[in-house]
Formats: sequence, C-alpha cells, structure tokens
Amino acid sequence: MTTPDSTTDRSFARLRAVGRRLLDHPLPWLAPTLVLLAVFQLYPMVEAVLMSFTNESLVSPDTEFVGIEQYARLATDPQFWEMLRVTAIYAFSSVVLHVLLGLVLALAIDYGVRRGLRGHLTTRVSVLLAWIVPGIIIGLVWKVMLVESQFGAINYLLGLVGVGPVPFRSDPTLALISTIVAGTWRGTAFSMIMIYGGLQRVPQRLYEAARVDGAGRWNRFRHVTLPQLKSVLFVTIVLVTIYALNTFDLIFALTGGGPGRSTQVLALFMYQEAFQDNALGRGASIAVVMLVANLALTAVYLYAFDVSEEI
Amino acid sequence: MTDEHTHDFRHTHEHRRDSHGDTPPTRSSGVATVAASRRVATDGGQPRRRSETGVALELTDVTKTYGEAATAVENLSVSLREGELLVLVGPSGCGKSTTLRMIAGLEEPTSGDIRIDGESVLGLEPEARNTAMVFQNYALYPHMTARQNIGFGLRMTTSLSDEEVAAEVESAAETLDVTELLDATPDSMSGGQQQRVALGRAIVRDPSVFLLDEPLSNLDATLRARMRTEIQQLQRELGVTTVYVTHDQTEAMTMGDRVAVLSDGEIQQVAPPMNCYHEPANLFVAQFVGEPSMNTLAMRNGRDSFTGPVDYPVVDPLADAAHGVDRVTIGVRPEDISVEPEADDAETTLPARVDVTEPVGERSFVHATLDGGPSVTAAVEGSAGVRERDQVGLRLPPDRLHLFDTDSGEAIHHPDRESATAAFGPV
Repeated sequence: MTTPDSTTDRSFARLRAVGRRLLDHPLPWLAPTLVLLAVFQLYPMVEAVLMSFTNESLVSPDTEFVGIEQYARLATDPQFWEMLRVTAIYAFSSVVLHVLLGLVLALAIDYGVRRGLRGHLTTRVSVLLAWIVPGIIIGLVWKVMLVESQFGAINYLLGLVGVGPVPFRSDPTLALISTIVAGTWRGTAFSMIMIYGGLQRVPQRLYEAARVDGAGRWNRFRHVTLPQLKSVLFVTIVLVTIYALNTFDLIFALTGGGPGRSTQVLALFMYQEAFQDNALGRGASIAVVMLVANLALTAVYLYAFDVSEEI
Repeated sequence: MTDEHTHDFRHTHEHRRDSHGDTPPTRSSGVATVAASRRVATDGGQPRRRSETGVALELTDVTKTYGEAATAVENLSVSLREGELLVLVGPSGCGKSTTLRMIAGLEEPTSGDIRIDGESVLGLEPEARNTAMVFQNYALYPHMTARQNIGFGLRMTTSLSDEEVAAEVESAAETLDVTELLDATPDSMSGGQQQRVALGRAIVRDPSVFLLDEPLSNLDATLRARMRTEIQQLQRELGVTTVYVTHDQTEAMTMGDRVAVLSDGEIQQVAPPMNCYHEPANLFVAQFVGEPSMNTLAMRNGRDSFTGPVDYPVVDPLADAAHGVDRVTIGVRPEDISVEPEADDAETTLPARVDVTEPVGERSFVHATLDGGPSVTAAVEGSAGVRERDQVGLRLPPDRLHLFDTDSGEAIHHPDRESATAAFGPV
C-alpha cells in the first residue's frame, strides 16, 4: 500500500535527485557568465551588426534598411583606407614595442627578484602607475609635455642641448610617432605584468637542469624561458593587439586625429561618424570592420602560436 | 611496458667504458665511433685525463654559509675513487642537497675546494664541470620530447652533428629502455618513465661525475625498489663516479659503496654501509642508520653498574671502555634484545611492560616501556608471543651493547661483530 505520506516523500526524493543531477551539469555553473555575456556583449554586438545595415541616425527618426551600402561606402572611401593604414601602423608598432619592452622589463625585474637585488618593487610600481592612469589623462599629459615651444617639457630639454623645437604634434609623421610612444609608455606596463607573471611560473629547476646541461644564458632564454612563456605571450599579444586596434581615448586627447588625418585611427573615426556626424549606421559599419579585424588577427595568432593544447 | 622489466645495460654501454680509458677506443661499432669522435671534438684528440691517484672527486673543507647565521655545510671533506658510488644521507636540511649542488656548480662554496679528476672546479660554470645531474622531480623540459630532452645537453656542449646526437640519444634510450617513449613529451609519461628519461639525459653526456638528488623519492614503493636496483646496476655498468643524495636509509644502506651520514651540515661518518650500522661513529649515526632505530639509554657510570632510569651491571667488555667516562649512553639494536616471558633475576634482563606489538611479516617489533621509564623496541623472530600490557623481561646481552660518551656523542665501544647472534641484519 502506498500511503499519502510516502508518496510525498518519494516525490521529494525525486526532486532532490533532479536537483543533484542539475548541479552535476555544467550549465547552472556557466549560466551567470552566459547571461552577462549575452546581455552586455552579444546583444550589443548583434545590434551593431544589424545597425550597420541601416542608415540609422541620431537626428532623424526615419531608419531604413540599406543593405551593404555603408560597407560599399567605406570600401570606396580613400580616407577609410588611409585610416586603416594608420591604424595598422599604430597597432603593429604598439604590439611590437609593448611586448618587447614588456619582456625586457619583466626579465630585468625577474632577474632582480631572483638575485635579491633592491629596487624591483619600485620599478614594478612605477611602471604599473602608468597603466592605471586613464588614457585620456595620459593623452593630456603627453600633450602638455609635447607642446611645441620652450614651454613644453620635452622641447625645453631638447632646447638645452640645442635641438628643436620639434613639431611633435604638427608634423604628420612625428605626430603618429608621438602617439605610438605615448601609447607604449602606457601600455608596456600591461605586457610587463603579464610576462612577469609568466616568468614566475617557470620552475627554477628547469634553469638548473639547463645549466647542468651546459646551456648558457642565451640558450636558457631560448630553450627554457621562451617556450615556457609561449601561452602567456600568446594571450598578451592578443590582448595588446585588441587594445591597440581599439585605442581611442589617448589619441583623442593627444592629437584628436590630426594633423589632418595623420593619426586618425578607426576607433576615432567611428566615434566621429556616430557621435559627431550623428550617423549611427556608418559608425556601426566601422565597428563591425574593427570586430572582424580583431577576430581575424586573433585567429592568425592562434594558428601561429599553436597553443590549442595549453588554452 | 617500460617500467615492468629490468634490463641488461652491459650490452649497449660497453663502448662508454672504453672511451674513459687511456687508450683510444678501437671499437668498430658505429655508436662507439661516435663516442670516440666526440672525445676528439671536445678534448682536442687527447683521451680524457684522469687523476693519477684514481680519485675522481674530492671535496676539501667545503663550507657553505648563507649570510651570517645559516651554515648549510661545514668543513666537509670526502673523496671518491673513480667509479665509486657514495651515498650522502641525512635528515632534511642536513646540507646534502647543497653539497650536491656545489659539486654541480649550481652553488659556489663559501670556502674549501672541489676537485674533479684532480682539477679544481671552483668558479667554473656547471657546463664546464663535466657533471650530469638527475633532479628529484626530474626537471625534464616540458615542451620537449624525450628525444629532445636527452639530446639537449649534447647539443649545448658538443659540436656533434644532428646524426651523431641522434645516435647517442638512441643508445642512451636503449640502455634505459625508453626507446618507445622518445617522441613523447614528459606530461604524457608516468613518473617512472620520466625518471628513466631524466637518467638518459644524464648518462648521454658521459659525465665524469654523476649526481643524483633524491631520484626515487617521487616514485611509489614498488617502483622505487626496482629503480633502486636498476640505478645501481646502471652505475656499475657505466663505471661512473656517482654521488647519490637521499634521506632514505634503505637506499643508503643498499646502494652505496660508502655512505656519508650528514647532520647539520657536518659529516658524521663516512664508511661502507654495514660499518655505519655495526660501528656507528656517534649517537646520531647510531640512531639514523637501522630500522627501527637503535635504542639508547642515557646513564651514569657508577662503579659497579650504570645507573639511570634503570640499572645495568658494568661487566666486561664494557668496563674498560667506559672507564673514565662519567655520563654514558647505552645503545642496543632492537634485534639484539630478546624478549623473555618474565623478568628473571639476571641483572641484564630488565622488567618491562609491552605497549604495542607490530608484526611485519617474518618478524615482529615489540614496543615496551621499561619499569624505569624509557621505552625500547625489540625485534623478534616470528610473532612476538606476547600481548599488549604483558609483563616481560627484556634481555640486553652485554656483548651486544654499544657505548657512547653522552656529552660528546662519540662512540666509545662497539660489540664484536663476530659475536652477532641475531638472525637479522639491518632493514
């Protein structure tokens, strides 16, 4: 006989079993992240892609579907290609400089720490300070430092040795170099922190084994350090690339894209199209191009580094 | 699989021994030729110089201090004959690993001298010392295959061509029976397999001195026992001078030609293993070597008897040895104690109560508390025949006692080894 009580007990037990099975499933654990990603990343992304196929504007209520018109317009705009070139130069130099300088700094600090030398904490903190200052401030600081008269700190110093004043922000080439230098000054900290973290994970015993195996300094770096840093370098390069491709604040404050369009990167262009010309559709199409560029480069790195096993 | 059977090393490594000799090798085997050509490449055509005296490795008054306070190794002197296996054994922190690392060149001694093949290696980088080392956790390069791991040292230190390196690697792999693993990376290998590859990486270098830092401590018990035998066999076949560091006294007792017992950075005794067991130089060695360790009773030297927590008669041959020493410690190996059903009147039989008996197969350990206070352990054949809380008599035969000067810890008397009646050796 089944009493009502035992039926209730049994259904409770069944409920508990379902609950337990649910907790064993990865989904409940992934759900919060998935929801956040969907609401704050995926939805805006889809919306931007959709917007890029319209002529939506901030000032006109009429929005029409215009197909690939915005893309066709970009493709035929010589200025767009020029901006793409500037962006590419900026991003490529940034990646190379950030990662190389970050590696050098990280190796120096790691060496200092392992040797028990003084000053490594000061170095780390001061490099990190550059990173935590907002880009817009950094842009302004550099703008002040690069003022093209004796009142600019750098031109003043150059003046002391009889050079200048140098047109850091009014000469097209120098302006681009200035943005790259300012960006590197700021961004190197990030690479350094990442790579330093990676270096600390390299077991000391591998270096000892390599020393006993007869590997000198360079060979230990080449055959132990670099392979051990591979996955960290991969992540760093991907993040620095994305960061550099999307740089907006620093350039906005330092040169505003000028002189002319010599430092006009895509992120700046997107901002101007969408919020100065109020053409959301055009801005969205640039955003989509940037997204594709980011994805494509990440794919290239993934292939080049062959880190599938480690990530 | 690789771990499952032992292997005869003699075959593949015959040529290596010859290449150590004073006459150039005249082998026709391809691998041997490679080895010979490597000698030519690295030593400028001269056969490797060995010390005239047959001493391959010599440490003289080696001291290592860290800062003001910490002394890791103090005035350590020991020398190894060519081909000898010396085990450095001691509790953790005794300086044994530091000593090994100083020989390898990973650390420099604060003072003293280290000579390999008669020449001081102080100040030389590890690669210039011609030593090879096996690390406790193997320290294989995780991003390299076994082949690359084994060949790395050759590529770094010799001018061998890729083919010659490959041949040497194959030969070492064959010796250690890891040929099938050559293209695997360390993360896909078991501990035992990684161990073999690490050994391969060391022997392929054909070093003057082979350094092993607790190589078996990460293996399970069965594998450890097997690798112990294999490493011994390998070392004999290669005839390479070896320093083996361990905290495991079983390894120390079974593997070494000689054992150096270290404590607090100082050598307590250097002797063949059985000498350390039968004639420990001091209390530390006495208690460190042997399992279960030697029982000790700190006593005062009265005229007719040693007095302390218990009394024990001063009989021959103890009387002469203990003469003039006020505070003595009696040492007796567990296997030298016999357990009597109850205390008789003999003064050498001490009444005690059994705390625990531990049967460990063919013998049993009886842990008992003497009526005077201290606990002692006896090892008896078969099952103990006594139970917990039984009152028994523990007979300490006078001719089986060690005596130590309590103040200095130095041994002042050992029993005559010939008189040993116990059925069991150490371990």
